[in-house]
Amino acid sequence: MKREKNVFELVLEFLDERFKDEAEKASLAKSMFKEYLVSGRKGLEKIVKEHMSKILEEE
Amino acid sequence: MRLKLEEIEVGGFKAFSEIKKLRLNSPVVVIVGPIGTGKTTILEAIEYALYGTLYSVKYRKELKSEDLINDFTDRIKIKLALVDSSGRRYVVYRSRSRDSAEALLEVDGKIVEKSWSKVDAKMRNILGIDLDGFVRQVALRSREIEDIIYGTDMQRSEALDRLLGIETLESIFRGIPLKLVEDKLEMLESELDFLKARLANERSVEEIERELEEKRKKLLVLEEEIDRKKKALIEYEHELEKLKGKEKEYERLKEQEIRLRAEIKQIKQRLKKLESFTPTEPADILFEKAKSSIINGLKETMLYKDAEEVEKIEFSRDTIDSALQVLNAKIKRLEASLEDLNSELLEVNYQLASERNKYNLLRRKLAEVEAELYTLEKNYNTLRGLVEKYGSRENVRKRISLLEVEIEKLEKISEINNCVYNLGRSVISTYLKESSATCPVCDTELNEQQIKKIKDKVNLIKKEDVFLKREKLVKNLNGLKRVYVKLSELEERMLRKNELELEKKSLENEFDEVSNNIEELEELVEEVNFKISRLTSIISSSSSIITKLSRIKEISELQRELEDKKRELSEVLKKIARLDFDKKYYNSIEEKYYLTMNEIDRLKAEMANLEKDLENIKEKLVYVKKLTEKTEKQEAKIFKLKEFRNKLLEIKIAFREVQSSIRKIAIRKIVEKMNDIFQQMYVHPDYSELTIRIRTIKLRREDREYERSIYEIFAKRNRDRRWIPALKKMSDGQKRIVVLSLLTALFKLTPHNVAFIILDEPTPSIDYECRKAMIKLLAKVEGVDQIIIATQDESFKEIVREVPSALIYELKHTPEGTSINLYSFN
Repeated sequence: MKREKNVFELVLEFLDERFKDEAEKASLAKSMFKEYLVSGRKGLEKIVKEHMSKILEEE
Repeated sequence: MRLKLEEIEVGGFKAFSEIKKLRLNSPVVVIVGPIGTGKTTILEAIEYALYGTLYSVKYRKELKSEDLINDFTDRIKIKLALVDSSGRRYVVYRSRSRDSAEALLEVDGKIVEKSWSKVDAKMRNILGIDLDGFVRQVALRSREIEDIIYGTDMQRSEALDRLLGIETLESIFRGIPLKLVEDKLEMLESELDFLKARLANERSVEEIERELEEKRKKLLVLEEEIDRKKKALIEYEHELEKLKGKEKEYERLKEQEIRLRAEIKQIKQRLKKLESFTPTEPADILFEKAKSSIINGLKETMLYKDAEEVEKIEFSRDTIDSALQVLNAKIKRLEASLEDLNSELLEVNYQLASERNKYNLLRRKLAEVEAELYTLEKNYNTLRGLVEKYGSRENVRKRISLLEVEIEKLEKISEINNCVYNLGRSVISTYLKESSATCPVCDTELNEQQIKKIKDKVNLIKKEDVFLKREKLVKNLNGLKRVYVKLSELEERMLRKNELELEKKSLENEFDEVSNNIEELEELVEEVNFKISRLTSIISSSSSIITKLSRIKEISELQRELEDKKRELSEVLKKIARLDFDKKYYNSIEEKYYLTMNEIDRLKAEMANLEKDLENIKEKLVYVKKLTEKTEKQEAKIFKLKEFRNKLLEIKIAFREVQSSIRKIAIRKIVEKMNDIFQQMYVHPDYSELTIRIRTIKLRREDREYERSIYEIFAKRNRDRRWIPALKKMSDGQKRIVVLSLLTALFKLTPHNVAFIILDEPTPSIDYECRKAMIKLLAKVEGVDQIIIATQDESFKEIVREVPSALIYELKHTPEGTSINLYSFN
């Protein structure tokens, strides 16, 4: 019997599909999803802050 | 690999202090008991054994791990045995106190994991579902069911999202902190505005660079100009260098010329002045006059040696200096003598004044003595008159003594007469009064005759003037006494008269002597005055002549000096002429030299200012460039941050889309399965089919508009073949069956290795038939090999009666806690 995919797998698959030509966005979206599962809203804030810091520190 | 529960041992956990052991190896296990007996504790013990925690601890945060430990023990002990479809046996041990936690996993009697977290992970892997999924799809609680049945559209939708496992996507959609980015963007934009405002106050980089270039060109021009001037300066310097030696000599000679001319001018002026005082007589005659005058003076002051010295001096032009020196020295000597004479005159005048004082004093004293003598002469005449009248003082004294004796006698007679008189008058008085009287001496009676005698005697005494006699004598005595005193006094004065006569004589002698002295001193003063006058005259005339001689000498010297200076000047002028030096030319070169030097300085200052300007412009350029760069960077950052924000927005929307897609897929599958289960579970003919519809509503949160999908379950009513909203129109029991159908469908659709389903109080409000059908159906559902039901509903004992191997545990309250008994139909 073919195993049904769980929601986690489905989300990642959908995100890949949604951003199939935009690897960076796909990666960011997936990392946000995974981080949320681990650390909740704080995880999302952490990712956003990291990205912002990277943008603001760029010379 | 489908797992079923086989056995559980639980102690020290929530309601159970003692270890309770329950065999679970049956397709249907019913745990029946009243409220608070620990039915849910058994179900939670299964969850705890499998996942090492509870959903209410990990997700809902309703409890802490410590709260799970029973109040009468200090350690949780749970042992759960499971068996899979291939017969493999899994045993999980959990033991936890407040300080420590131990776990163990055995597979077929073999320990495979020892640590708590590893056991958790291993079990999650074996079960193929995490705690969240387990609670949503395996251990179905009445709370979740009730949220779906009785909750608002939103609560129901959220509960269903949780059941579908897509609520995370909703949370991510809401949780992406766009505001964080937008706040930062706002801040950066405000900073950018500030930078732009600063930049607006400055000129453009191009303008500044243009100005910089202009200034640089000017600087080059100035540098060239300075170089030209420097070359000219070197030429002037060389020319000046050549002329410098001559110029030095020329200046020295010119200086000498000026000095000599000035000196000549001064000498001429002096000569002119001296010539107006030049004496008419020749110098030798003047000299002889001075010499003779000084010699006279020296001789008059008895300085003969000095006079001889002067006589020896001979006058000539050569010896005039020494001669004048000697003459001056001698005049000094004369002046010293004059000084002595003045001192002597002063001394004599002082003596004269002193003698004159003495003279005046003696004259005053002599007058006083003469006046006193005149008075004493008058006293002497008085004395002589008194002696002629009263005799000598001795005679007067004797007469006084005689008078004093006589007065004494008269006083005694007067005293006796007084006594006799008084006595007689007393006897007479007594006789006149009493016609008799006694003698006061012999105390005999006195007769009339005797009384008469007494009366006569008294009258005789009365007539006799003894008193007057005495008074007369006393008067004479006093007169004599006064004469005596006067005589004594006058005699004494006569002694003083003699003394004064002697003194007068002495004073007269002294007076004569002082008068003589004064005469002598006055003569001496006259003599000294004469000498002084004479000497003064000599000194004055000599000095005058010597002054004239000195002038003659000075004129001669000055004339000589004038000749010398003129000669010297002539020499200097010749030297200047020989030097052949053009001062004007030299000055013109020097002026050009200094002008050029000043010009170079001015140009250098201008250059320094220009360089300073250049530095300032460069600084300004750097500043404006930096500001521009900063502004550009800021704009770039803002651009990137906006890109990031848009990216986040896109991702946010993507999560919504993913959620929607998963939802659609899940709902399609669920509706199919749900209908299968419902049609078997619901035994009545009024409803035949179920479906789930999704509609979208718009919400506003944190100033943003969101879309939200709302689930609505519809049931098809057989009577009119219409779809009606199941959770609004159906009864409570029907609703529960609908929801149980939904949950069972979810269980079936979710990929995992769990073959059991746990129902906590699943069927309140459901009628007996439906309950029975539900249990039967669940037992038949593909993939559900085991049903664990915890309920207060005693009817379940009857419902499961038809399942032969069903296990029913009855839980009862006892004083020692809960008792668990396996129910038997027998």
